[in-house]
Amino acid sequence: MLNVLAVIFYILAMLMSVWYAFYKDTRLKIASLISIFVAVIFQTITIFMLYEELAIFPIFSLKYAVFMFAWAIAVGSILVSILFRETISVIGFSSPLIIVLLVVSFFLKGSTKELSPIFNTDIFPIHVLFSIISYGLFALSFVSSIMYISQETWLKRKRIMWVTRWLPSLFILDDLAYKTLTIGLPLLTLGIITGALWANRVYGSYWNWDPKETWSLIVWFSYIFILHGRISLGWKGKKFAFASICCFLLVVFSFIGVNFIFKGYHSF
Amino acid sequence: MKLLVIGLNHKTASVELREKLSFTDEQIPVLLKEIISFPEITESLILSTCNRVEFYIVSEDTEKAIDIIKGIMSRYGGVDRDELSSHLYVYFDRDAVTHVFRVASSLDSMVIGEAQILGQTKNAYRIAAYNSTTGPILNRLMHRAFRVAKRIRTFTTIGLYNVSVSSVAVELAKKIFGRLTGRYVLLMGAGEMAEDAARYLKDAGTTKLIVLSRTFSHAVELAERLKGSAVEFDELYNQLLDVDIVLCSTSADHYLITYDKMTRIMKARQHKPLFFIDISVPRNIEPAVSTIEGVFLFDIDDLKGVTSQNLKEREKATAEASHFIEEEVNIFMNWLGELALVPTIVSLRQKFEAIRQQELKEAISKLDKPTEKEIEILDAMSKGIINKILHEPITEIKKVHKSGEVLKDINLLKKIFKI
Repeated sequence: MLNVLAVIFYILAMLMSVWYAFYKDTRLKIASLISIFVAVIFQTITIFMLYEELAIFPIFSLKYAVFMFAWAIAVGSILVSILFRETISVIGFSSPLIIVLLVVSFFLKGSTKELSPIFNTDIFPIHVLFSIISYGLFALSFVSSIMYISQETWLKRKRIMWVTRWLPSLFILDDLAYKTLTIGLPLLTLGIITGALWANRVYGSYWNWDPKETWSLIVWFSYIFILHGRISLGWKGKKFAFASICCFLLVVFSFIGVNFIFKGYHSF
Repeated sequence: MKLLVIGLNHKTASVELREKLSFTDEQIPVLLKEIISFPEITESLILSTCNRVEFYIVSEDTEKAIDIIKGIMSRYGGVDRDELSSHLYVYFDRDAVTHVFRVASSLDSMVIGEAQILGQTKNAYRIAAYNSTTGPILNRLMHRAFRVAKRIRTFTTIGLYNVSVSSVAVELAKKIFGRLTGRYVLLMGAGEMAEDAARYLKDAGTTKLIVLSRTFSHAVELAERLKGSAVEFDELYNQLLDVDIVLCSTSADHYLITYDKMTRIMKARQHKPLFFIDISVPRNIEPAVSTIEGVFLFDIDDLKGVTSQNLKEREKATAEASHFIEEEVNIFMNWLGELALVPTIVSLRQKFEAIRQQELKEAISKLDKPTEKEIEILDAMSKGIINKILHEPITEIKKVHKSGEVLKDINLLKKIFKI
């Protein structure tokens, strides 16, 4: 199955990235990038196949939502590795997260019954895409923040070893944690707006205080808050990293927790 | 035909001597042409850097070749021949090949793993090739040298670990700040190590350098040397509000920068990262300062800890590199042997054939009206004798060739048969 291949290539990408930590051979870097790219291709193909099979965008169950979340993180990782210097280690750190999400999605049930026609509008996929990609970017900010805190701790304690050499500079990690949010937040905004537009199309009102809607608003405000902290109050480095990690925990809750705890039309 | 390396380097000669013998890219073609004008020398190349001057020569007559090179070095460098001899090293054949490979791979450099020497070697080759003083042996030698240097760089960590305090300081600065362009360095005090580190940082891209000293005139003098600016000592705390990297190396015997003062300063600069390098003994920066958020403090012991860790890694890499070189040397010696083998065997056969033809002619002239058949018999017999005689030696030589040791035997063969 394509998904198993995808997991294999994610593992490969992670191994290449870690191996690069020991032998700074550019070919390992390229191998890592190619592996993760191939894995993403496999995932993308699966998504298209599902789309064909189900005739609607495959995001109506937790299984596929998690699947797409992993995909979004992978795509983001590739972009980061290309756009930021010396960030091949990002793949090393985000791959475990991606792999765990994929494996979890394998074990979840993807219910195909009760496919309401409410999902059959063209605004729905756009809403989903914006939201999932924004979550992927928030995940990357989370990964960068963890990398930042690790690197800073080791440097401060004067422990210089292969990991400190592998990880990029504090400057880049901090910049990454911030810049991913500057793209993620607008995307989430669009995601919420298109979601409201969709709700109106289907239910006749823009906002219904569905738990998921409410929580996505909470997430939105949280990220606005820390971006404000960064821009106006000069939150940087460790402080910002911790904030980003906390916000991401909110994202995880709004994604998964809400589905299990609350019941609304957003739950799977 | 022998391959020779003659030269001197930072291990065998002082910097004054090396300076005299350091040849420019303009002078080298002149020297090369003069060397090659001697019939004994078939190929030559000159490598001249600030740490070494080496001549790679292919020659029939090694003693004459050494003599020629010494003469040239003495003349052009203005150095007495005898004085020169005591600093020179000479390598032949296998040792020469090993040396060339080691030099190109930076294993013979002052700082093992440095990246400049390969480019310098390539340049030296380019000049020699352009002036047509290289031939099949040097061409192949240099190409294999570049190849093994690249393999070593790719497959070992030889260039990776910094072993000087200054380079480690730069590496750490890069880990904190990323690119160093636009960064501001403050140098407190003076001293060789501090100056070296300041220079390294400047080379790595830092833009602003301010020198601070108890004695303002000292600061000014140092600032001029390092192309920075000087300030009065009481400016210290003001500077600490803006600086990114602080190099501290004064003779003060107390803490010049204390925990209390730094706490306030870091707060004022919103914990913008600050990297302290304290190489003073006793330390001038209170150790507790490292606990303040945003501060990274490394003293001389910390830096030495990193360099000694790195040194171990570099030693490992050097051992790996030596293996690669050993492999490549074997391959090259095999090729060299092969190169010399065929023409030697041909020469040998030709010589014996010439003797045979001569004796056959004489024998025929002594016979009274020999028939065709009789001539044929004489011809076949003489041929048979020659072939049987040569058969074993040639087979043995080809066998020895496989083991890579054939050059010595070929030279011996040529010597005793005078071919």
